[in-house]
Amino acid sequence: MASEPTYSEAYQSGIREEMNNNPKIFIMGTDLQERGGHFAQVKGIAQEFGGERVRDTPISEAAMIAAGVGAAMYGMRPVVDLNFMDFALGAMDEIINQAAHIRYMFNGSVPLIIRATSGIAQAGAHHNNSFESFFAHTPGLSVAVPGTPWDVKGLLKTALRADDPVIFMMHKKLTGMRGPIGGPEDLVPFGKARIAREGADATLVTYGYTLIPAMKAAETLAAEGKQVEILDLRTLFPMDMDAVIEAVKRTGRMVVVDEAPLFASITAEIAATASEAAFDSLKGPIVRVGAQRAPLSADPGMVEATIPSISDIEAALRKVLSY
Amino acid sequence: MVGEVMGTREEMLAMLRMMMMIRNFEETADKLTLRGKVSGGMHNSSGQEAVAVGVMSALAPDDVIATTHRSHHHTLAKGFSAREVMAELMTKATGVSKGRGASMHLGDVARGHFGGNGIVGAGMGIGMGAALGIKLAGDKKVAVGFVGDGGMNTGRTWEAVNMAAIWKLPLIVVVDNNQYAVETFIERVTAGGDLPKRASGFGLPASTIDGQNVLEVKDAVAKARDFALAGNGPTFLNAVTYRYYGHNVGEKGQYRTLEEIEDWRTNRDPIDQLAARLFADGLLDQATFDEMTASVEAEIKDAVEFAENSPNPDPADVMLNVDSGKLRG
Amino acid sequence: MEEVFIPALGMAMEEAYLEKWLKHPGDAVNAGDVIALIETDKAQVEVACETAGTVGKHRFEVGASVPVGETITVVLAPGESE
Repeated sequence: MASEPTYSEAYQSGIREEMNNNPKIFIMGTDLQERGGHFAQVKGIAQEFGGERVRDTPISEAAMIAAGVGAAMYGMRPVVDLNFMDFALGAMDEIINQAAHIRYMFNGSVPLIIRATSGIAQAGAHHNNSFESFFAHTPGLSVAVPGTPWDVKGLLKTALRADDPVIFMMHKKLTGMRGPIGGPEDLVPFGKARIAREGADATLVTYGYTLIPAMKAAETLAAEGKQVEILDLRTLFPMDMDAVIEAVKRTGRMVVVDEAPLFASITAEIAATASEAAFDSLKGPIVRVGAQRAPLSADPGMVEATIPSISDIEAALRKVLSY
Repeated sequence: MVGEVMGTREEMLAMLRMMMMIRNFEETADKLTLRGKVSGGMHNSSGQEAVAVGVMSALAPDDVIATTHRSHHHTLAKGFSAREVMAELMTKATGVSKGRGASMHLGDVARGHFGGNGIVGAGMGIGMGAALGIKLAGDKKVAVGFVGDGGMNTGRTWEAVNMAAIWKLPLIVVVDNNQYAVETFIERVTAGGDLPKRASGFGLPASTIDGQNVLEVKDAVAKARDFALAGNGPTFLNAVTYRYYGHNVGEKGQYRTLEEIEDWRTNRDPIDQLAARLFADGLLDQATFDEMTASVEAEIKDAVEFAENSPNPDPADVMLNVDSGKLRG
Repeated sequence: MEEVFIPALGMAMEEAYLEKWLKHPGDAVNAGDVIALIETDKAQVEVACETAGTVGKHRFEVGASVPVGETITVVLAPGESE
């Protein structure tokens, strides 16, 4: 049996099928045609669709996003590939003031996807930021954070068929992850969380790469006789808060984890909203786990010390299980 | 001058009337702003009418524009009614942007107006994107990206010019150059001085034109449009003009001499220049001119009444059109 | 009759402090004469009239905080009354 596709190949599969279906979809970014993108995310796509639909750009983030915004307003469906989400900062005006706000004022839509690889590996302070909360905070933007090949393909397809600017954040440490992917019409809706692991004793809410350490922590706890449910959010806006609140009602114990700096993060939003909505169901406070509020070092030991470890997650689970 | 390049007498009179209408609109709106009836800051374009009217006279109705914080003149010349622009200034539901944008955010994508913009240089980038859309769709249209002289010193402008040039996009960059970036004289902050020289470094045709001469603007844009439609790519036009009022209504800065302002008003006014020329050429007589003046006054008076009698947007609609809703299930 | 009012001079300006009356009821004024001094959140501002005539009643006293757009006095043309 042939091996299952990787996370990057899932993206290729989704973009290829949708580009075949819809001639308005095109991709632009740096190093896409020959190299296939810095994470092989569009490998072979230019060879298949040509240089008009897979456009190599100069390293001009503001102009790349502006080109996407204007073309989307005109009726095309651009995918701007920034390779690294850190580079979005060179186009923050185009993303926040322009892409996100146009529909509200100007009687038109901006069906623009901004794809990039995000998350922490060992690449230092300028290639490792976790900007989920910036984008989820901005009215008008939707944010996808797929944690599996299936969700990469399914969420991409949904985004390419909708009418809104979408920040599509793929985690760099998942690039080579293998798993099943869906067929041409297996769309994954935004705003619907997935139960990644069943368990009745506590719920752990997370997304993206953090699913992996979360799963390991849950296995450790299982060996100790406690079953932890894991909820994979899949998109951060819209967010499936109903699923989070139902989980609180079901298990009464909740840990929320990601690898962004803890202060003012997505995890804070989840904990606050769930506490307000289902306080009576909680056996104790929701516990959040996140990174220290420090820039990312390039040193492996320093990175370890900055972001949550498996044992940090286990400790948080033990804490809520002690209520 | 009347002929195949400059157009018919009717077209010339239409240009004159449009400039007169914009002037009356702006002076009326200025007073309404001082009276506290306009929300969100107001940028008066009086003095710059020839740039807007010259550009729009050379465009086809479905060509696309994207513009700046000072865009009443572009919007009116593009064909939006005085009623809907005035209503927008007063944030009325009947306005161009349904009362959500006011002076700085006039736009209607469906009508080829990709928006005014509160961020310097950003509208030009969107115009470049529209030109990419036009090219990919295979349409025979152009996009005009307006930018001010202030936008000549923000990096995004030149990123966009470069991209338009390498991809030969059907874009016309029009610098609506009123010479002051808010209160800073452009020459004080612009190295090299010569804007077309900067632009021509990207390998595209670039020139300075008299932004007070509506016919010269129209002619230059018509040529740029033909150039773009032939697949040759973008053109950069630095239209030098002057604003008679402050950067925003209420600004009382003393960064320009009264003599300078008076000189532009008296000797280089775009409306006076065109009217004088049409009188001299026998294309305009006093009775026609008086009739135009009266009809413009009536139009603006009607626009103010319409705006004042229109409802504000319904606060219950605050969440309407934040996004399409399609991703929220 | 010209209404002389507190001009809106900024996005955040809602009212102004009436600092001084320079012209008084019955004074003859020319276009451009400064009628009053006001203080906004940013600066001291001269409020001038646009027409010649006779100043009418003061509608506010020095020291008042007057909302933007509010008429503070009028300039009467010959033969006009308030």
